[in-house]
Amino acid sequence: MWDINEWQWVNLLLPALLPVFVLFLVAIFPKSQAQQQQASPWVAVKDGQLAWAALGMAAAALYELRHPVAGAVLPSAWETLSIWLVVGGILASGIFAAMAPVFPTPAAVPGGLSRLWHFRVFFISVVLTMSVGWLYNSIHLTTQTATAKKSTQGTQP
Amino acid sequence: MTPSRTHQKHPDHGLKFFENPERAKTILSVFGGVSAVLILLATVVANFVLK
Repeated sequence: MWDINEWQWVNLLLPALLPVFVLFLVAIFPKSQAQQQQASPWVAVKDGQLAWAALGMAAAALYELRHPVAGAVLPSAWETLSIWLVVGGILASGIFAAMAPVFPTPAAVPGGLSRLWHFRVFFISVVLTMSVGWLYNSIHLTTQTATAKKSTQGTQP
Repeated sequence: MTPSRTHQKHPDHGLKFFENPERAKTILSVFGGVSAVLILLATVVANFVLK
């Protein structure tokens, strides 16, 4: 279940996590205190910026849905629902990605507030990105991979 | 002479959404959360029912 293939690394995990890892690497180098605060990996994601990665995944899913491999047999109801889902994913992640950083969340949690509530925009962006990522994964497996096996079987003697 | 409806409107035409950042974040979170759950549930239906 947790096997991650090359496609998933490149298309799902890399766009979401690479900027954060880059900032971890940047932490090695000496910086002023102001730069240290701005270059924190937490600052890069706490205001819902992960939704930008979700937007990219949804846009790529729409392309794959409209361009399946040759000979692909897609159930009509599945295709219709998937198109609506991807369009909804693009709208939701686009609106979320654009609007969430307009209202920045302070890094320090005020007294009396739980972390979960204070950083609610971040946690929701994680759930939204994972949902759209799973949708993209299932569309890829249906439109690009399953039929590729079928066409390979057809060419075997 | 009675003023037109336009003149009776509140002079502040700014978006109320921006006035309270905490409320705006809550509205966005509900929007994002509901969207995410709907996408999750519909993906389950698409993969395990429609395929």
